[in-house]
Amino acid sequence: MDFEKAFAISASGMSVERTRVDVTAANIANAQSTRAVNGGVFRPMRVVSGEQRASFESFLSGGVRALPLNGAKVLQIANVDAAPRLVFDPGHPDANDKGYVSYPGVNQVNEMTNLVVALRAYEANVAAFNAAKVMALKALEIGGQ
Amino acid sequence: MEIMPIDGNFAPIAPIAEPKLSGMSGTSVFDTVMSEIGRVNDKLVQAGDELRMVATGDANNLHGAMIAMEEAKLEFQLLLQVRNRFMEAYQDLMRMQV
Repeated sequence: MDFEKAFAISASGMSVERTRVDVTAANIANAQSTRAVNGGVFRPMRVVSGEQRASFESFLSGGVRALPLNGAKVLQIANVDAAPRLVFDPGHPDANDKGYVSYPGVNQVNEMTNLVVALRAYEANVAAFNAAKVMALKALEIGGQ
Repeated sequence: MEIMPIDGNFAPIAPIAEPKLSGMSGTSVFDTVMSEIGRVNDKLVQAGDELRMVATGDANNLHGAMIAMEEAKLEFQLLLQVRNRFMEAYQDLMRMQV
C-alpha cells in the first residue's frame, strides 16, 4: 500500500532517536568511569544522523510517482573531544603520579537536554505515523454506511 | 381470406451471437481478491513473527513490531471492505426480480 512509505519513514526516524537515547544513556552511565575498554579515559559519544539514501529498487518499484522522500539513519557515532575532568584523589587506584584521577568529560546538562530532545523527536515521529494511519483508516471509510 | 400453403422457402435463421462480456478475459476479480488474501495473510504472519521476537527478547526495536501490527491491521481492514462490497453486490443480485 502507498501508506507503507510513510510508515517506513517514521520508523527510520524512531530508530535514529532510539539510538540517540542509547548513546546518551551510555554517556551518563560512564560519567564516573575512570577506565575505558580500550584503555585511557571513556570519551563521550554523540550520534550523527543523516538522510537515508533511497535504494535503486525503491525508485524502480515506485515508478514516476515515487517522491524523492527519504528517511533518516545513523551515519556515525562520533567521539566528542572533551577534555577529561581531573579530580584530586591520591588514594584512587587510577590516580596519576600527581594524585589526579581523570574522569570523562561528560556534560550532564547537555546529556539531559539530549535525552529530552530525543524523547520529543521520537514522539513527533509517532505522531506522524499515527496521522498516516488515521488517514489510511479514513480512506477505508469511503463509501461505507 | 386466402390461406397460403407453407412452401419451405424460408431463409435460415441466423445464429444468435453470444454477447461478449468485456473485462472477463485474463485474471478475474476473484483471482485478484484471492492473491490479496494471500498478501494479507503474509502481513499477519509477519506481525506475528515480530510479536514473537519481542516476547523472546530478540527484537531490536519495539516500534518495528508495533508498525508491523498496524500494517497488518490496515491490510485486513482493506480486505474486509472489499469483502463487504462483494457481499453487497451479491445480495443486490439475489434480491433482483426475475
